[in-house]
Amino acid sequence: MSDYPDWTRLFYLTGTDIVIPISIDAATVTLPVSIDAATVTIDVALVASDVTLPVSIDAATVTLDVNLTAATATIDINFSDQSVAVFDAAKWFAHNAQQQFIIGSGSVPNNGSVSSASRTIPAGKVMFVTGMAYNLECSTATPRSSGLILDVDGVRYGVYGSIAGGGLVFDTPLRLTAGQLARLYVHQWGSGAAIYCTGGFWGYDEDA
Amino acid sequence: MPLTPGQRRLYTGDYNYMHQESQPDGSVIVTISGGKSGQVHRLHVRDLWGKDEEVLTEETLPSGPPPHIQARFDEARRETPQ
Repeated sequence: MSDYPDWTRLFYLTGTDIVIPISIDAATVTLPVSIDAATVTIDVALVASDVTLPVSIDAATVTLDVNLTAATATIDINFSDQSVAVFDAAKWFAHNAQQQFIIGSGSVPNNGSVSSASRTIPAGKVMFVTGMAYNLECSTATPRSSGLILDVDGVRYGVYGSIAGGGLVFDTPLRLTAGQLARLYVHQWGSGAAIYCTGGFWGYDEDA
Repeated sequence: MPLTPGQRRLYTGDYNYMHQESQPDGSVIVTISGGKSGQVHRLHVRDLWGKDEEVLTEETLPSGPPPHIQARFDEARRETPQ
C-alpha cells in the first residue's frame, strides 16, 4: 500500500502523447475483472475526431454470453449514419426457417374469378405477407383485363391488375394474425373462355 | 372428427410451402412441404378452411432427392477427385 500514495488516482495520466502498450505472450491469459460494490459505474467516453474500436475474436469456439439481471434493464442503441446495417442473425434465421410460399392454381371462368391460393394463419403465429403474383396460361384466349385481389376475412387488402399477370412486392409487409383467412382471387374479363391461372402470395411467420 | 396429420400441420404452421390445386367441384388438393417435420403431405380437402372442412384423402409423399440422385450423392462422397 505504501507504494501508492493515492489509490483513487492509480491511473491518472496527463501528457501530450501517451501510449500504453499491453503485450502479453503466454499459453493461457486470464484477465479477470471482478467488481463488488453497492454501485458500479463504468464510463467509457471517447472524444476524438476519429474513433476506431476494433474487436477481433479469432477462436475455434466463441461464447459471448451477456446476462442482465436487474429490476429494470434499458438497452439503448442509437445509430446515426447514412448506411447502417445491423444483422440480427437469430431473427434472420428465424425468418428463413418460417418463410411461407402459398401458391395455387385453377380455372378462371370468363368474366369471373377463382380463389387460387388461401391460408388460415396458424395458431400462435403472425404472418407478414411481403408479396403476391399471378399469371394466366392460355394460348387461344386473351383477356381484355385481369387482376388479383388479396382478400382477408372478406376485406380487400391488396389489388393488382394487368393483361396476363404480374407481381407486386410490398414495401411494407402486411401483418396477419392467427385465425385470419387470406385468399388470393384471380380475375379475368373479356377473353370469352375459361383460362387456367396460377397465383400466390408469400412472406414469413413469426411467433405471436 | 380428429385432425389428420396433414391438417395438424396446416393449423400449426409446420410447413414452408403450400400448393393448392382448385378442383372443378370446389374441393382443393393441398400439398405442404418444408417445416420441422420435413415430410410432404398431400391432402384432398373439401371446404378448405370452412366450417365443414373434410379431408377426403391424405398421403405422405417421398421427400428428399430421388433415389438415382441420392445414389450419385453417395458415390460422390465416397470418391475423392484425383
